Amino acid sequence: MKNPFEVITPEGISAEILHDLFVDVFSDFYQVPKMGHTFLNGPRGSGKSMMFRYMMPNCQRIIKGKDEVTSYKEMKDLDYFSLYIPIKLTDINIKEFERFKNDANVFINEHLLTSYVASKCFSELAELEDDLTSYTDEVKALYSDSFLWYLDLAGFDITQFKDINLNTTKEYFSFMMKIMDRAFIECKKYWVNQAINPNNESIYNGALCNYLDFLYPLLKDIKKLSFIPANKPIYLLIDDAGYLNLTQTQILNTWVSYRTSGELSLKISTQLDYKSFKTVSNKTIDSPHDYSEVNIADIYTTPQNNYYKRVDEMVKKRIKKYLGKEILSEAFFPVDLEQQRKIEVIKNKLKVQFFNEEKDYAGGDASRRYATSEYFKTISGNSTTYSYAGFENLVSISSGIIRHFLEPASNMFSNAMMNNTSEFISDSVQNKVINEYSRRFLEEEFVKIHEDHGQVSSGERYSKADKLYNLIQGLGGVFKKIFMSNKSERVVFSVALNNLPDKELNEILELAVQYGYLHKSTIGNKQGTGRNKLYILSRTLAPYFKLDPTGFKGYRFMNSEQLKISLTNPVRFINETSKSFDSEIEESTLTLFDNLEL
Amino acid sequence: MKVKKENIAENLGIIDLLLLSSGFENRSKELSNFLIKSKIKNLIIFHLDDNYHLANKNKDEIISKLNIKEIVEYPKNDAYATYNILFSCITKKIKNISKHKIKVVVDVTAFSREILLMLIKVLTNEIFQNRIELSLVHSPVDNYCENDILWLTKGVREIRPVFGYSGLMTPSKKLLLIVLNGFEDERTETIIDSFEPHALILGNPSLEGSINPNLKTLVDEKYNKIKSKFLGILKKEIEFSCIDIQPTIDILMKVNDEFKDEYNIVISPLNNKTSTIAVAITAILQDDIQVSYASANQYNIVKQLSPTDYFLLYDVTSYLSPLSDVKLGVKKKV
Repeated sequence: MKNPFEVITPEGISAEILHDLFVDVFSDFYQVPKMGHTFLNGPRGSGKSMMFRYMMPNCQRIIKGKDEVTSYKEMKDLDYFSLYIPIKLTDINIKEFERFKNDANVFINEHLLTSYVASKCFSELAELEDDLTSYTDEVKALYSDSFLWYLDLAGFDITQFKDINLNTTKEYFSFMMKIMDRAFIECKKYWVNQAINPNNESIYNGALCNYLDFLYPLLKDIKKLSFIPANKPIYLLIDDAGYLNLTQTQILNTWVSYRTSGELSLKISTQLDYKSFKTVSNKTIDSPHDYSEVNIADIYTTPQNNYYKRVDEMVKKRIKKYLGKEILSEAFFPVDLEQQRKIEVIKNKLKVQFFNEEKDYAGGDASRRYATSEYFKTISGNSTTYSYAGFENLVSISSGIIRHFLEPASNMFSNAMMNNTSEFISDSVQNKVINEYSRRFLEEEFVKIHEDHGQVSSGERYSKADKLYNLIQGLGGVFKKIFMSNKSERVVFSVALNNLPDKELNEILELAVQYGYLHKSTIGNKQGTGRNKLYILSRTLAPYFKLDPTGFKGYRFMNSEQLKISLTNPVRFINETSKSFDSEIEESTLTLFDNLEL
Repeated sequence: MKVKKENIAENLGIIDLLLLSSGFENRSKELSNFLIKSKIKNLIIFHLDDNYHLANKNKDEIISKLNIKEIVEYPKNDAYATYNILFSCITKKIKNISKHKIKVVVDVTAFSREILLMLIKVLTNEIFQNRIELSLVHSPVDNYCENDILWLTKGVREIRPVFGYSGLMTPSKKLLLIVLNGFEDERTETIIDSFEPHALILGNPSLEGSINPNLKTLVDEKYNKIKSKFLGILKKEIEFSCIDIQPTIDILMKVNDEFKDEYNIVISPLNNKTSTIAVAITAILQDDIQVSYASANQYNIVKQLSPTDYFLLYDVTSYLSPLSDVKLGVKKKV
């Protein structure tokens, strides 16, 4: 039986299946399908590739009518024409190129990147064959008059390709793809050979393609083909550009800087690992001047976001598609009923305790705010542990990153299948898997961070990795103290800084954002005179720190100097921050009615 | 080929150049305990510059036992620099040996898979063609896991193509990942997730190709866990050997023939050194294949794993002669 939560590589599924499974998120990310260069940033598994795949012509053409009847738009009627360029982990970023440090490095890498992109473009076009049978003459002319012309200019020997007669558009596009493959491989083979044979004295006589003299004019000519939407841009959807090496990254930035977006827009996705925003001439590309920027995690951690709705829709679609069942997400991922019963008892007690004739919401409000916290207190110190089972918990723990939902859900389903049940995932399996997932998210990732940022600078006691670890432990510790306190708002996952962090703190906060431990946002300051930086702890860490991931979330204002203590002394930070909990004025934390749900 | 430990010196005969390394495991000293110093003409010991204390201690013991003069350090996680170091010191050494056929022996036991692959790349370079007789010796682990709690490594630091094995991958082809699975199922999972391949081939050690058949149940359990997670992209399952290189080369060549037209093939050898050697030879014979390495975050240096009572010895000279020397796009300087 297929695992409905398996993380799917969007390239590997048909347009029809993808269309069935895709949950339309473009109202959340409206800049992505609009004309203009765009960087789409999001951690691994946040749905970037699915968005790109959905923007492909074969998906865009699908119209689902009533009763799920499928019809297709004409290609030329699409709002844009996209070509998908996935960059895989080790496709073109290879160690052998490190040998070349001079100008040759830029020329070689631009040729490799250009020929790679061109090959992918032709590969995509060849896949459209069914729709292009009546355009063979046009494509033939493109091949002879444009493609070979620009290839010749790039120094490629076109003699053997001049008098080619093929029958279909697919054959022409496939042929152009193969020529670009060859241009890529010949160059790579030469330079790899140079790298592994340092004494080799051979010289390179092959082609050198680049963006301005090859790819851009060629794509402009492709745009003139009558099956491409007229007066609409072509989008190059460059997926996972963080896998490019530094030189290739700077070359891509140079392409962005050319501002050709009216005809050719570059849509570039990154896993927050993009190596540079500098061009090959060391100039910086800027947003919004050169490109627009979309950060998925920022959008899904802001107030009133649609994330829960999107995940619910996705789960229902997947269960229907792969298990053939119509099951509510909450029923497929049930809560721990015994725990829920005990929490209900506490809620009822709180309603009575906080009953106020003048404020009829007070009882219900208190029961919502304090019940989980009070339950935690009852189990604190004994052998009972809090269960994180339940769809709402799991969605909250995924913290706006769909992969943080799918991956544990996939493991849960595999576990359930071993017990021969596919009707639902038991609460014990859910709880076991999600706790382990949370632990791995912090502990095992951190060993890697130590490798990259574990160096202790001269005059320092702690490495950046140590400081980052301390920061997360400090924040988790403070949030846990707040949660177990008697404060009016106990579920807190964020700190709002009253003043700007200094360079050292800022660097560590940025590192935390890069690794997905914190999300970054802003919030209006208490004086109403501007906005303060807000850092939100990933709720994927809720099981690790034993926090409640669901419900309304508060934030805590603090001075950056105070937060900075956590970098070197998380215990002192926790103690100093929490010692005033019982006496301090409650306005320092958000109330339920501040309308912030993180 | 299995060789009893007490017979290894006789089996190897006169060694013109012995290359070895030290690691944190006592196994890394095993070959040096059984060799005869007078039969070794030249030695180089390679050593990671930033290594565990235990590895330094083992290095000193090997150096003293074999009276090694040439100690070559290489940096951690810098493949480019490491390849240069391996290339230049081996080239220099071989140049100075005035024999028509040079018998080179590599003790592969303590080299990381990545360094071992690079070393084989250097030794199979065209400049050494027909000059080298190459033997590889391995002291395998007898019993990796007494139970499923024992861990060998934790986490994955970086996944990268091995220097010299980036493969002539064609942009328009899809990606097929072949994983030769071992005990480290978490490492396997991370690799598959990171590559996001269009298709996957999972390799599991065969019963007759397992060093310790008693562990087959545990290995199968880990294998099945991975398999169930990636069923959607699983194209084929293969069996390979941890004892002989030929069966693994055969199956990899067969898979390559079957899938090379449609896919770029990346192999990730995650099992023992024997299967890694087989992967190296396959990728050298088929230069469009990429070999990828996943460095671990943390190694279990506390647990000392017991070695077998034999060495595994491979004469790979016969594989070196048919190496292709076709270089598209390359024109020799006149």
